[in-house]
Amino acid sequence: MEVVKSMSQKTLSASESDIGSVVSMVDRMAGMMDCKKALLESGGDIIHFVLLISRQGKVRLTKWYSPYSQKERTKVIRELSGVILTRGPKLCNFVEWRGYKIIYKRYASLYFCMCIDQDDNELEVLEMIHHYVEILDRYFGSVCELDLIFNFHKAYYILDELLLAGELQESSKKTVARLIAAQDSLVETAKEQATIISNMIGQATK
Amino acid sequence: MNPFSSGTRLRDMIRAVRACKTAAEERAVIRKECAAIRAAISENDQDYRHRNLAKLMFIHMLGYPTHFGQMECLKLIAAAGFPEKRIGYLGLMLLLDERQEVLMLVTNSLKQDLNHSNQYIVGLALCALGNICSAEMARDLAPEVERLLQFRDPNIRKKAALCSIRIIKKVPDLAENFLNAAASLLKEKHHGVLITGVQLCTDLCRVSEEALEYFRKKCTESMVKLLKEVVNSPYMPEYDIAGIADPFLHIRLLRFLRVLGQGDADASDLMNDILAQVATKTESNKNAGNAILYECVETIMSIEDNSGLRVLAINILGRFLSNRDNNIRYVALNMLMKAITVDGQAVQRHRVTILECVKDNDASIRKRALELVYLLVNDTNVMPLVKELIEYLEVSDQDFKGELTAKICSIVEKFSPEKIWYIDQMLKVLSEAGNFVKAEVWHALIVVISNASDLHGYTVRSLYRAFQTSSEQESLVQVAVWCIGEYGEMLVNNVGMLNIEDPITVTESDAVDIIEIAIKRHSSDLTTQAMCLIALLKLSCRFPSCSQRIQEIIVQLKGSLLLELQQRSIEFSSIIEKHQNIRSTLVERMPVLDEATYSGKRAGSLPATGPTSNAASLNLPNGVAKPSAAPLIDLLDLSSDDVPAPSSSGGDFLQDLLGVDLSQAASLSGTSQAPKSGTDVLLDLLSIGSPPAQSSTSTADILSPGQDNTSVSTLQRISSPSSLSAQGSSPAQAAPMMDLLDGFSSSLPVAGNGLTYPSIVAFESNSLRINFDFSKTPGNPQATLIQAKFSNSSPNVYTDFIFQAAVPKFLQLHLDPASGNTLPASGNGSITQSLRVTNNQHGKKPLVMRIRIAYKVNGKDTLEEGQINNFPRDL
Repeated sequence: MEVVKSMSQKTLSASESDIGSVVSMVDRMAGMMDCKKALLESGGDIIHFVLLISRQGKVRLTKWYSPYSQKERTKVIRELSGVILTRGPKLCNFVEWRGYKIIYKRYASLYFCMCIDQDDNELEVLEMIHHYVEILDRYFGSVCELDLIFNFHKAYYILDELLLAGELQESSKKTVARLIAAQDSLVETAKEQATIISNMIGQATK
Repeated sequence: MNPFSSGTRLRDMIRAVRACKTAAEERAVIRKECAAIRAAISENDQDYRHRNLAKLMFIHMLGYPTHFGQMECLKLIAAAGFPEKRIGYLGLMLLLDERQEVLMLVTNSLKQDLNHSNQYIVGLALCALGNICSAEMARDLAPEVERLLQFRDPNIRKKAALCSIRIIKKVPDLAENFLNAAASLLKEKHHGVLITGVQLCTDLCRVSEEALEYFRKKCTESMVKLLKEVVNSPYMPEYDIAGIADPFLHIRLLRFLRVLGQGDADASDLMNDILAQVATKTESNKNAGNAILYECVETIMSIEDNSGLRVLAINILGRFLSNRDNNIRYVALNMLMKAITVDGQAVQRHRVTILECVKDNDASIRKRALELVYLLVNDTNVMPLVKELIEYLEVSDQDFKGELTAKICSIVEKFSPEKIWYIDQMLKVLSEAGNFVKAEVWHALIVVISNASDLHGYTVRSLYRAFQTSSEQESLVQVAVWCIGEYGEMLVNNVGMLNIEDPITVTESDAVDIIEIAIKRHSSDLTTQAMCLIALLKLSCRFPSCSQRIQEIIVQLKGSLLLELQQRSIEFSSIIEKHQNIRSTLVERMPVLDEATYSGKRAGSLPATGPTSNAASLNLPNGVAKPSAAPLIDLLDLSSDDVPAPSSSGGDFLQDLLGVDLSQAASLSGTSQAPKSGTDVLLDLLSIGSPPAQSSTSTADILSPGQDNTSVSTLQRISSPSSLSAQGSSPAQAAPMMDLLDGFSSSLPVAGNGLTYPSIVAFESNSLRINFDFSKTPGNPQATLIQAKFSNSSPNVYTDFIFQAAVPKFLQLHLDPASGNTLPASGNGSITQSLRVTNNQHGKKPLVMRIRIAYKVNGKDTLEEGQINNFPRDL
């Protein structure tokens, strides 16, 4: 009987997954007919996360705008590097994954990936990725992977001026550059002051 | 100073990590760094805190645990200087997620920083809040964010706008607080503020009906105007992308207009002109332009109908579809799926191109195209489309075959114009990708085949041919085995030859060969092998010349480790050996399976009950208390002669045969006592319930063609073991029979009798009769004591008499030892045995029991089986 039981279980789970697909199909159809309702229910065009992965599968930047636990994050990264790094060069830049879409673009040895909902504008996200790359390029002066490794925090700061809460924040490259420069100089001033003070303390305690 | 904490600089650590040749080396470096950082943390070192946190972030990205550094983020955020706060907030966003309790501790610092005099610190706080805030934080800090929407610096206003989006998504009740401030953002000139303001308003409309009304009334016109300005704006180097001024703002405005126009004709009217302008004027040679066009098409499709605009939109999609850029083709397919509900005819025009996309070598495009094709199929185009798809199935990638197969099967089932076409297409799919076909798909195929009586011969011959070439496809083998078992003689004798067929010569032993190959394949699973055994049993009768050989094959599985196969093998060989006289009746062709019931069950079992009820019925084989009785369930249809198969619809048979019980208690409709579908599982499983009288009549006829009885009496003999006794004499026994035929609704003389219940004849065969007396212990309504009395009216003494019983899970059964094991002949004595049953569902479900009686007559083993469902109610 054990055998029969296990067999039924297998068959059953197969039929269950089929039910799932039917249900999701029905959902999607319903969504098409009643777009407004679907829009109200969905989170609405946000970027769920941004990933930078090197061709060797090393993570160079991760930014999560939707709640993922640390465990899920690791799993997502592993899964996606498997999917994206193996795609051929001439294929489209979109991958459907777990009901979401991953928009990715490769620049030299780095893959820039963003995850969005099914209904979002894939082409726009592609443009956002390019926007980010251009800003990085301007900031570092023809950016390369090494820049992003050693100055990973800078890459994060720039991203934070570009995206917030998974939404685009600024469409002007110049403005982003200006804001980053202003904050960098704040840090520099603080550092200089700290050096001056420590020198003074040093001299005073001599 | 701590000797560790001075340590290495961030840059040096990264170098050291990169210099590692092996993972072990890297781990060692990280371990050393982490130890140093921990030491620094425990010493509360201030000077290198920000450097240590930066290192931790890098370590975190490499995938090592860094939870011990979380508090350091909070300390840095609480520090006074900008550099510390900057790295602290970055660490907060990177190392923590919104579910962590630690986050609550940061609320106060955030509040202070949101009110800080340095606008960059305010910006940091807004950024962190927008990226990780939880519902509680959203409630606490919403007033600050709302105030910052009017901050003097536009860069803070834009951050505050996006932060507000996060807040209203977490706590939609707060939406109205943001309404006015959000509306005023729309009047700004700064693009960053406009982009985020429009986004905020769009999201407000999504969470609040009020906001939607408000913006629709106040802002539709001004947004149309704004879009017009942006579209016609002169060259702006700061925002220019590929010759277009700020495509991001374009897209957000189009999206906002979509929300405003949906379901409102007036608002939709207002935006017609500008949408037409965007659709016609936007350059489509660069990605940015296409992104705008794409958004514009979606808006046109979503707002209230304007046929002119829709033609424009469909044309854009047509252009996209023929684009050479894969991205553009992908979004075209994506959007056509939405367009199909709006204008199916227009989408049909692109069918050929779409079908080509199914064969693209890009998996993303293939998948989109396949889903679109699925929506495109209708009665008129199904034949050419399926032909194309099946041809493609032959050459498609392995990993795409599963999806493709599922879709083809679903299309074929849904739109098949005639049975022969359906069978042909399914056989093609089975031989090409049978391993990907789901079980219920080929179950359905069998039901259809069974119903197409004029195609039996054709089908079995086609399957025979297909088996020769594609015997590695499991589900093809299963269908072939089933059909050869049922229609083997048609295969051999070329019965029902159609004009289109080539004649083939198949000998009886060729047919048996097929089954033998199937049963001996290593890849055959339990289901296949079990089906093979049944087919062999059936063939043993149909092909007398092969009977000996068949028996040899069956006997080989006597030692199978799988109980199911072992039992089938043993029982079948004994049928072949010892029961020649009943064998031919036993293995008659299966009655036609009831198509309507099967499809009804398939459909019915999908949405209503889902996995839980399936799981419930799955447990059934275990629910039977006596293991010895359990295998009977599967064999019910074949091995027991007094409970013939067709007592229920064909769907059940199929399920029983496979040991799967997907069926609901639909067939129990007559049983008023059976509560909801799917709950009265035992009845269902035993298939004895109360089938519609008509169908059992006809099936009974089929099953016992040798009898001259009228069909009614056949029905009675078959469907109620106790009916004979009713024909006998004792008037008290009429009730159970009524009961069986009418379901449980007939009134039994229970009422008013308090705790006494009428006796029943639980079982009656030619010579053996079992009476049940009931009694209850006061105060324990769930428990029933049953006194069973066995009597034997035949002239022979029954020896080694054993009575066994099994009950479903909601019952508990305890059998006391019987009074003896010898039952005297001619009613000159009896055996008694007491049973105690506890009904956990007392008052909800009636008792049911399945019994088996084994004894010897003149040294020969005899086995009788039956089920009792005429228990008095309320037991």
